[in-house]
Amino acid sequence: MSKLGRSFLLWMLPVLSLLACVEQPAHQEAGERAQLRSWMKIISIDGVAPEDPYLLMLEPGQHRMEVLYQTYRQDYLCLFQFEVAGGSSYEVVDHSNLQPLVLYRWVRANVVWAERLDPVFPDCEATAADR
Amino acid sequence: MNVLVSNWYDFKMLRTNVRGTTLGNARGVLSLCLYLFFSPVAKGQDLVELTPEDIRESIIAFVNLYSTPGLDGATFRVNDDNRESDLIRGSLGYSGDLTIKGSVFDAYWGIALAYGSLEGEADVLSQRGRPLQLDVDRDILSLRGSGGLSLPITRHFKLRPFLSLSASHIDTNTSVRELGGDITLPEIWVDSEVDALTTTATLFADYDRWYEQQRLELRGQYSLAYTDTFNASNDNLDTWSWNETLFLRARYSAPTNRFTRNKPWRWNSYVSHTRFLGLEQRALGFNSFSEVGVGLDFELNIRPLDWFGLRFIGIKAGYIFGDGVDGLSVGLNF
Repeated sequence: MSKLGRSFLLWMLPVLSLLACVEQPAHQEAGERAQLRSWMKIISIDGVAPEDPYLLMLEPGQHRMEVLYQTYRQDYLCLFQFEVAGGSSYEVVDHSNLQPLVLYRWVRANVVWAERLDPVFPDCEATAADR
Repeated sequence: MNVLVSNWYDFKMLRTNVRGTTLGNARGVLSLCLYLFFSPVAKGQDLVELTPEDIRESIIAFVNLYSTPGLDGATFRVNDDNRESDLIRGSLGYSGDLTIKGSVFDAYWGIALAYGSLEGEADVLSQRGRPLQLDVDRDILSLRGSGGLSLPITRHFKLRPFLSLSASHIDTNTSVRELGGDITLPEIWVDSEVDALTTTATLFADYDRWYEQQRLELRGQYSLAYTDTFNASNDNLDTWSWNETLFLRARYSAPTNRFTRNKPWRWNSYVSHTRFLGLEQRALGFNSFSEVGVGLDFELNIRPLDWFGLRFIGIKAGYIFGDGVDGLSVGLNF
């Protein structure tokens, strides 16, 4: 093995060891209810302000949800209307797209990763940021 | 300095012929090695003086080429009247935003392992007119961690100021031999190694906008780096310096009609320009280059380890060109 190869392994081993120590956050099995996690603040769910604005437990069925996306120039109030399947996980992320936010259904593919499926795009209304 | 180098070689050759001793002056060979990066002269031309500042700049420029955040894997070929050298640069890394709940700004983090090599060759003349050939093999391995802020100015435009810390290890093998002539002189060679620590402050501007299914990305990056070497096997490698790097890129992508597991493939094309500000061209043989290329992305959209999002994975191929340099860039993006 070349000297560069040995050096590469010498540097990679601590990195891989460090990654092996990362604890995987467990997906909450919620029975018939669904889990929804948002990285942006949830203003309301079905017209009511949630107790935890970043984590919801939802009953199966149709829901309306308002999420706030903030920038230094403008704030966006985004309205999601979506159907929840029992026992599923959902996630709101700020992928840059036609709308600033998107809702994904989150499905565990294997022990290494989970897949984001079935994107739902909101209707967003922009207002000048008051900062 | 070059005169000293040439004198040293002639002197050692003379000693070898007279006494038959082994050549092993590491400092002299190291100077020859450094000389390779600074305008080795074409045969028949006058030697150019090599200053201590040149030596310092050659080491720092080499480290900077591999440790600057945001630079992808590439091969460079420098080929002019005075030198030929091939550089390979590869990196494996990830960077992304980390949402801070309840705040407008996010955190930014990144980690990367960069590796590379240089193979160079130059023909020079000693002061006594002997044609000499210098061969240099140099390897570098660098681990970089970055942390900073991601500031969403608008929904399309973000500023990311961040700091990076890179630790690098550089190995160099140099050989010197005489070309032609009736007398064959022995090849001499020496190994040297040095570690380098680089602290880089970077301001990254990112404009990212979708037009229906088409996407336009404009990126600008300015980096100011301070590099200090240590654990040098030779005093000439013990140095420090500041470097500035400017990187600009435009990228356009659009969907194809191909899907895999209901996930789309997208094609893209890009153009970029990298400029090492204030760097003398003779340090590496070039101080700027441009790149044009195409790529193919797959919208994988997964969460590895349930920890961070990975939206696209793709391949790209580009052509690198500039004053005194050309090359290829083939890479895996994610």
